[in-house]
Amino acid sequence: MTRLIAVVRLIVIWTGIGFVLAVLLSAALPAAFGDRSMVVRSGSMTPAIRTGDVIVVHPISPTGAEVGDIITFQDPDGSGRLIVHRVRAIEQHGDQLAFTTQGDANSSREHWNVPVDGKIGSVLYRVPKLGLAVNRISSPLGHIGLMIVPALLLAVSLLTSIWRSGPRREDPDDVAA
Amino acid sequence: MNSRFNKNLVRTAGALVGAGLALIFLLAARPDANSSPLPATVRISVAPTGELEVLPSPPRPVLVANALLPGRPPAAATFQIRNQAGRTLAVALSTTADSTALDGLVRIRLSADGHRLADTTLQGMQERSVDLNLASGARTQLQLQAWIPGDVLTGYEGRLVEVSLVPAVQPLGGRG
Repeated sequence: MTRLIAVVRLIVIWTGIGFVLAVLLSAALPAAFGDRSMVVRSGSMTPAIRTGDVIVVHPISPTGAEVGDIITFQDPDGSGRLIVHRVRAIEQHGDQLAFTTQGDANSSREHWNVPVDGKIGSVLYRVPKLGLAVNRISSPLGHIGLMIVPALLLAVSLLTSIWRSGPRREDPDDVAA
Repeated sequence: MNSRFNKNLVRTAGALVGAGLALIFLLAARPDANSSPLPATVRISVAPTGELEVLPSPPRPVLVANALLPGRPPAAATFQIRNQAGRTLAVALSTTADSTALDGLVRIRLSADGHRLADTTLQGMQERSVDLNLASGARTQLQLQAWIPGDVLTGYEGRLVEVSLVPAVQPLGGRG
């Protein structure tokens, strides 16, 4: 019975570890293949994408976008900010594509042009709420937590192993004089 | 040795289950691609004019049809106009739009007290509607409908057009 509990506990712990690692890798690994991960900081695409989600974006040709796709593009106001909105309409004018985009939760829309041979981003998937965790870790408190939590875990692990080993047997050769 | 092997096996199995759960979690959280046709949106407001009081007051739109799909029932709204000039007015309405995207696709019907003033496409509404005579101080309720006919196949998806109903007012002889 004790052995079964130990096995179940081991499975649960490693399932948790596997889950967390896979989620973290899904957000970090795409960067190695030319994709990009970014934290969403506004609710304009709620409920499809929420504030604090991490989205993974793949660069595509504007001709590859279709009405209904969620894409990233530079804010037409020239601020250089990246916007994540849904394509509402695409029209080709010569070597330019005229996009109309709108956040699902917005009533306003944006009109902007991009050259046919330009680049925009296509949202592949999102990792819900991971951005909130990233932001917390980036804070001073998060940095402290990053040091304290592993230290505490290490201490607990050491103490557990000491308690499990029990009192040390006396060496029979150690005889009092 | 055997126990250690079993322990590693359990750990690996657990990690794989965790990774599988993460995959399911990420697939479930994928944003909806929304490949179904996006509805068109038409916002219609009445351009203010001194001779007429309009309710709801401009620039509040009188009709926001934000789910227009071919063959769906018309989006409908009513609004009031009141002649606040000192004489009887012949009022006709025409439209201007910020885009031609839905010109031939959206139909508009405008009526007042059962009388049809216009029943045409958005493009056709650029022409004046039938005149509506309104005595001084008189108020009337207008019904506005917008829809996309069922035979429209494409071209409307996601389009959003701001339409302004522009009253053309002509005084008729004599007071109220």
